[in-house]
Amino acid sequence: MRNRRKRPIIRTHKKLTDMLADKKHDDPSSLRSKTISMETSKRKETAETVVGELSPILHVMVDRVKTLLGDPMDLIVREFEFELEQKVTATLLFLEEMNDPQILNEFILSPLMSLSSHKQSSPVPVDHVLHYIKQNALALGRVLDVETEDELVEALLAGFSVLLVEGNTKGLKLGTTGGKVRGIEEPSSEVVIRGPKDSFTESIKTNISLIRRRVRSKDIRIEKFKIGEVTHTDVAIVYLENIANPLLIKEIKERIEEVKTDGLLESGQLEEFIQDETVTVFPQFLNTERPDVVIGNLLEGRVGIIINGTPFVLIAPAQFIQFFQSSEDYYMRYDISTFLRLLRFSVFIISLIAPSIYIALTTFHQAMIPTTLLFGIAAQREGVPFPAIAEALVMEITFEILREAGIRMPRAVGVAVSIVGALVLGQAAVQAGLVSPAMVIVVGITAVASFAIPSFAVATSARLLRFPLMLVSSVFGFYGLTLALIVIIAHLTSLRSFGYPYLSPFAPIQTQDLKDSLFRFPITKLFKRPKKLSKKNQTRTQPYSVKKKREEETTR
Amino acid sequence: MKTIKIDIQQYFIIIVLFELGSAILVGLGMDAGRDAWIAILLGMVSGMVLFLGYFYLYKQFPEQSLTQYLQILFGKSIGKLFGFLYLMYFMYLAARVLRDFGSLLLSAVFVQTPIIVVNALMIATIVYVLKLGFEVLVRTGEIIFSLVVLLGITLAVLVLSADLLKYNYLLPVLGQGFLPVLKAAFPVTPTFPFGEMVVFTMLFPYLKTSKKSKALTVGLFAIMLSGLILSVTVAMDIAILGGHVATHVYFPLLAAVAKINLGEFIQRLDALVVFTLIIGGFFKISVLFYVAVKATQDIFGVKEEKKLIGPIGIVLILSSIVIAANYVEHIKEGLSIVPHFIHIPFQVVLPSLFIIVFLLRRKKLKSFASSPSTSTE
Repeated sequence: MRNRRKRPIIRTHKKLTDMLADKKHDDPSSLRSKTISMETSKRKETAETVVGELSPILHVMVDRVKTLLGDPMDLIVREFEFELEQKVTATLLFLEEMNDPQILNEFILSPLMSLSSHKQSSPVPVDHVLHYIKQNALALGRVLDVETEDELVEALLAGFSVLLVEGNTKGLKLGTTGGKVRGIEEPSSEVVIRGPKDSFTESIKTNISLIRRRVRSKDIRIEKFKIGEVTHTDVAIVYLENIANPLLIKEIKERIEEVKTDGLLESGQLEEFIQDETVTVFPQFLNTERPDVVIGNLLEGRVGIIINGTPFVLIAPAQFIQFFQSSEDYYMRYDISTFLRLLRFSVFIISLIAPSIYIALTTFHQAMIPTTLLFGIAAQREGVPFPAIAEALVMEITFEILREAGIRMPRAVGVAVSIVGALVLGQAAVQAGLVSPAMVIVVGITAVASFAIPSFAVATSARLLRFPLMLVSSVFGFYGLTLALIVIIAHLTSLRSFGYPYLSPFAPIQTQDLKDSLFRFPITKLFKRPKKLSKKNQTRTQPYSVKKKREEETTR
Repeated sequence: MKTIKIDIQQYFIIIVLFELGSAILVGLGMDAGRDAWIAILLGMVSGMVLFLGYFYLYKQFPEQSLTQYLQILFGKSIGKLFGFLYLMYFMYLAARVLRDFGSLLLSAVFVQTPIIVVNALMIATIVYVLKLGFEVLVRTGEIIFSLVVLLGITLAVLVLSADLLKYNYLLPVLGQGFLPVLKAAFPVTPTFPFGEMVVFTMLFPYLKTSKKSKALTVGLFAIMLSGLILSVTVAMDIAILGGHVATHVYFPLLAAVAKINLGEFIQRLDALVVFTLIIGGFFKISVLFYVAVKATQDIFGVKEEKKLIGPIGIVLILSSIVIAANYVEHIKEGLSIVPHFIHIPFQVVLPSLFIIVFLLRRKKLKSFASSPSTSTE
């Protein structure tokens, strides 16, 4: 049986190649395709890549692919044949775990193998086989032509399967991408009580679909880039064409296109490439796991940057105040949202300067402490041999160590860390007279405060700035602290994210935008989008008011 | 070169912060005793008249700063000489304010710290901010302004709730008649801080072109607002401390606020005032500093202003220490010499001279001014 089959294959192969050779002379369409492929090969050669057109002989081609990829164990070569007037041999190539076996079996192999010419009235010429099966046999959405070896290999690596047919200088790449991906889960870094519970995943396709499903606008634009000489990471920018400023889009595209690196694994790397200012502790992009946050920002005229392989989507341009806003603010009542925003901002201030204030008060401005409290603190500090700054530095650094240890530790050992941290370092240090209890309280407040900031990125800035501020206030008290804060404010005002002032709407003041900054006005009062971001399409809400009905009218 | 443009509300904020910067600290018009607040109002009105004069000059040369149009008005050499005098004036002012703040901090907080350290720290901050650009300073001003307003309101509420105000200290109003008040008010009170608006002759050209028509009213309004705040503050000082004490302490506001004591918990808020004052002082010195940099740039034809910031900063630190041997001398100079022999010539006499010269040479200048104004821009 096997032998009987094999012989005709070779025969047909010869026949087909002969026919092809004959055809080449008289068929203008194949001539054209040849010149085109020659042109492409010329282009590739100038770019110094080894190119080849696809060979019409199957086993040559398969060998070629194997050498190019280094004969990987997960490359599956499935040869099969089907009948179309005469026997046609074909090979399906794919990388095993990147494709969905079910799709391969049901929609490619099985329809092809059961294909027969009796449905067809006239015979199918050899070079139309591909076209024919594309039209009649492949029950698949994405079927594209492959013309060069490079394209073929690239398609295989991107998770397509490739179908080659004996005697054809083209192949078909088939969208059978599959394999295991993480499902859509609840966001882990931005938990909300009220609000959508889905979050982005590592797959850019899933992420785009999450956005698309929520914005059914024809104006949504998704543009793709590839970054990484080695990784070929997909990067996509998303924006609403009728809202976003075209100049901003242009700038973002230019910056992304200029990135030349070997690989891109996470959005944080891209962030570092395309940010405006490198020497700063403040984040210049918002990153989020939540689709609703991205869409909210798209509606304000911002741009989302999605990177394949990470659930964190970048949003640009970012303003400082955004890091204190949570998507939940818009889902809850405005009064509690405003309260929470103010709380978060004060929490940021606390985590930034609480230790510095303690140091300044105990070192320079004892007079400002109420007398009884002053006695208390003085009594506590009596046995402590260190100045306040040393005490504070030691405790803060200890806390940072504990925190880092808590993250890196295997979960089973985590309990040990907290015991050592709380008991040994906290209580014992106080009892041993190394630090004063007041200092422990201050460090505790600082730590808790830094966890209450919704954005991890900006909490990190406070964490870093805390130490220089402590040093300054230990030398110059409130005077140094004030000047240092002025320096920080000036630095913040000088920052720009894609040209948009970082401290907007506070400096420069945008009165209209202040409504949705530290405060959140009722949603019926938020008429406009941020002024500078969305120049062409400002209005977002029409004035609205409920006509109150009296009781009799509704209960009648 | 990138040109800076100032918005109208930014311009308003700069004026208010600049006026309040150091003036709110020292007792103004205290020669008038308990009627000092009236003297301040008088000073404010005459300050507004001066401002009209400066604004008139600006209207004639809308594209140029003082040091630039002086060179048109008088020709290159004499114009540069006048410009140089003004440069010295701006720098002296900056050094004076810096010294004021250094002394205040020494007396209030850092008793044993050398003044040069305190001043150097302030200048270092300003140098950093100015190196980021004047625009950054202005925007920082916007945030500082809201902070200052917040602190001001807090302090006012605290003073009112602490029940410290004894209004009879302010009575009788004009007890000795109008003359002592007039004497106290003129010629000293208009010069500080209202006459110092002369530095804005250097900043007017940076106003956003579309907003220029409003500049006069907004400017006058800003002066009025700061005058009222100053007047109310001084009245408050007097009502808390009494006319005699208020006129004899160096920093009446500090002494007054120190009296606040709410429930044995909120007390010694003078540190809070010091905080506000550091901010105000920072801003005032920064503006003077920047104006000095601009003037130097015009006179000596330096292309990059950033190169001048460091050196001028060092000059300011040193001169702030050299200008007086001790604080008493510094205050004495500030009260009796500076207003008469420095402020009045630079704020009143010279600008009037410029206006007169302009009116005399108007026709000649018309043809002349149009060509250089286009070439300098």
